[in-house]
Amino acid sequence: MITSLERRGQLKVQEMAFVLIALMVFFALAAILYITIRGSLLEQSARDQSDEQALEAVRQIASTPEFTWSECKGCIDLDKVFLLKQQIARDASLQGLWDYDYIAVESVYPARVGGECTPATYPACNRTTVLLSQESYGVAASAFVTICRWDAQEQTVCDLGKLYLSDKGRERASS
Amino acid sequence: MNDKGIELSFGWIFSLIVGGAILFLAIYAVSQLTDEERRVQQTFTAQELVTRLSMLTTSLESTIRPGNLSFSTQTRITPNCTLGGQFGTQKINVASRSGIGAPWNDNGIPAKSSGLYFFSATPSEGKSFSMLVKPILLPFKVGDSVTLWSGVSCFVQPTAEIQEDIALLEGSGNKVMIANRVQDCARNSTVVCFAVAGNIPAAKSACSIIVDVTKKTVEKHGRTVSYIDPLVYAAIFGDNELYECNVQRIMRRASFLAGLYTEKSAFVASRSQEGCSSALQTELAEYRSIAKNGTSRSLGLLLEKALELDENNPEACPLWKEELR
Repeated sequence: MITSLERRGQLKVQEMAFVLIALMVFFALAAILYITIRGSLLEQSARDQSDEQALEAVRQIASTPEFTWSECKGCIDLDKVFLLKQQIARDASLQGLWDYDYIAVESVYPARVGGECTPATYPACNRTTVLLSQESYGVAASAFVTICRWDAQEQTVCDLGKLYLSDKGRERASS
Repeated sequence: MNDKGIELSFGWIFSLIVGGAILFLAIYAVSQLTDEERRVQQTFTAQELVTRLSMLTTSLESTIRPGNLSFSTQTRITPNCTLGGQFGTQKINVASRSGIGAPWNDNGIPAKSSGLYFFSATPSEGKSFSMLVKPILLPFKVGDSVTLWSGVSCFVQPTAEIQEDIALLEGSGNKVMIANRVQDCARNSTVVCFAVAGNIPAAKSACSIIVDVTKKTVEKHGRTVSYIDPLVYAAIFGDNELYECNVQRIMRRASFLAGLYTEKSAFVASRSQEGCSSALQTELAEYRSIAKNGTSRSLGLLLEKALELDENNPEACPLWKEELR
């Protein structure tokens, strides 16, 4: 037979158990809220940093010895870029030269036609895709650059162009 | 029956055990979150460091550039170099000083770059670091060497060129003093002796590092590495293994670029109406074979070939415009 004292004791234990469970649930909810907010902030700052990096990477790739036209800062040697494209097309292992999915140079002004540059069309073309390791490379970061080359009369010809770049890390951070 | 014992009700025992468990879990969670936060912070710092260093190396400057790097707390920078892939990779870890527990927080995720050649001690610790960025022209630009150090060094009888370079550091927290005798060096400084034709300006035991400017070698921690002028600070301040690995990366890059210039030479010649020739092809091929699997020992030979190439680079339609001399 259960006495009233024992029943009251049981009730107190149950009350305490409920309070503890409520406390645990509260902590769990607070932790979930914190993790969600922190995660989204972290994702945002990772995205911001990767955007900053992507823009920096475009500037940087324009200044790498493989791309640069050594007479002016930030200028691209289109002859080298075109030859680099051909080298990468011949040797697939060169696709890993830079940690990017997509690198392309486009001539903007004066307006040119001719599409993608090939040995048959160069230099009467307006786009050189140096690297395209994946079909879906996402949104490419871009920057205006000066693209220069030697013409047949040994004169420097420079156009206004755009350098496009899509970064594997950036895609991962954005997804 | 023991009347002196403390009688605890079930409620007390229950709340003590569960309360203790909750407290323990809360403390554990907070410490884990703090660790994670630090790790994130250090990962960002490493990434930012590599981005900033890369920015320093992207200019067309063909001269030496001094710099200073400061952190708000004591920081440990641990560079690492791997030779995997086409150009190898430079990895940099950053850890900050911890106020509690272990003296240093765990490293964050390392930042990576395939175009950076970073030299320092492994690890390099401090709040403020001195830095020198030197372009590597062989004879075309291959990259820039970024050398970083934190301790005080004393250069005994350095060459005039090195004195000029060090003078550039004056405005940015110079940690290198120049002395004529070892005795003039500060007590806790790293003594770097410069030897001309094997003549060391002090007793060998008094020098921590010996730079032989005639043989172009640096002797440090019982090991000797060869250098060329753009890499002299890298050889002095950089860890030996890191130096050797990065030199191999530089060689691979030089070899690849030589291949690209070989193709450019033929390409320009084939389209030229004014007689641009592809005469450099043989020399570029020789250069490539030296650089392909080169180590620091091949640097001298590569520089000789680079000087030859520089001399023969056609003036009318040059393959590169950088001035080696």
